[in-house]
Amino acid sequence: MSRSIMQKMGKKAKTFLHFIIPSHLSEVEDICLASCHLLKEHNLEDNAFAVDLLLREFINNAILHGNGSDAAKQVCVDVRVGRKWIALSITDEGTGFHWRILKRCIPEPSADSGRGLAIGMLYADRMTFNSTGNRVVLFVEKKQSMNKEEMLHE
Amino acid sequence: MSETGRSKSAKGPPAKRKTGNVAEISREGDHLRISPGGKLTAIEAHDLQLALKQEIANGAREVVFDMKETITLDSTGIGLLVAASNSLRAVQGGIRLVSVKNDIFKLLRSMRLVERLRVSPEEEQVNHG
Repeated sequence: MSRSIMQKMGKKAKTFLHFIIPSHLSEVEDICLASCHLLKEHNLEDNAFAVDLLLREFINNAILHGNGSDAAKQVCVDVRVGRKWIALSITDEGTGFHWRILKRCIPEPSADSGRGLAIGMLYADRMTFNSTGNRVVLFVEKKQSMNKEEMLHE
Repeated sequence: MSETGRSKSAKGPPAKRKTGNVAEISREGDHLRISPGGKLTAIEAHDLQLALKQEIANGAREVVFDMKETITLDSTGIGLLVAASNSLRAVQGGIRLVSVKNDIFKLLRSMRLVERLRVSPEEEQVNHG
């Protein structure tokens, strides 16, 4: 629906963003902002909170745990809007981790860390790692919201 | 007393200050009110954690986070809130989160933290279910 309107308006929305950043937490904000903008272009504001949260969690993980905050190492982030899914891919230059033995539970309320992966399991509809564990791909099902213009064309 | 603190007998409005990442903190006696602003994430958490530790060491016991402006919270921000709650419980104090937006309320509920952090949703949600 939104695509047809954009075509009528002579515009084609981007469907893909690609970033390569040094391992600084300060880099995360721009990626989140650009990704939220991309979602807005596709009327996917209802996905914005989940996508923003997942990007923050997994880019932070890649910077802090994957690359050990080594600024010489980079993190690669892809955000892709597909037909049914929004796919987020985050790759670091670390040695990975044993994702197969992940504890799939919510930490105790008194725990002051360890919620990043739990957030991934709750907010992504699907989460996959490569064999070494230095690349994660998160899939979020699209929740398209109709804007006023679309409602008029409906 | 810290630079933000004031004694219970002092008159006038509570002292206010901002952390490096624009959280606003005001103190009146052993009560602290913190407005984190739009985000409480890994970037903001460091400065705020230092400020909180200092305030608790200087006698703050009841800490209210006013979340009405806050639209982004990540696991580091959650960790800060839980750590503050743990530290305050150890000295018979406590934490409260007020005016919490719906998305953040759901996140905290899914992490089983609504009771622990005494989370209240924003008024609009209370009035409209």
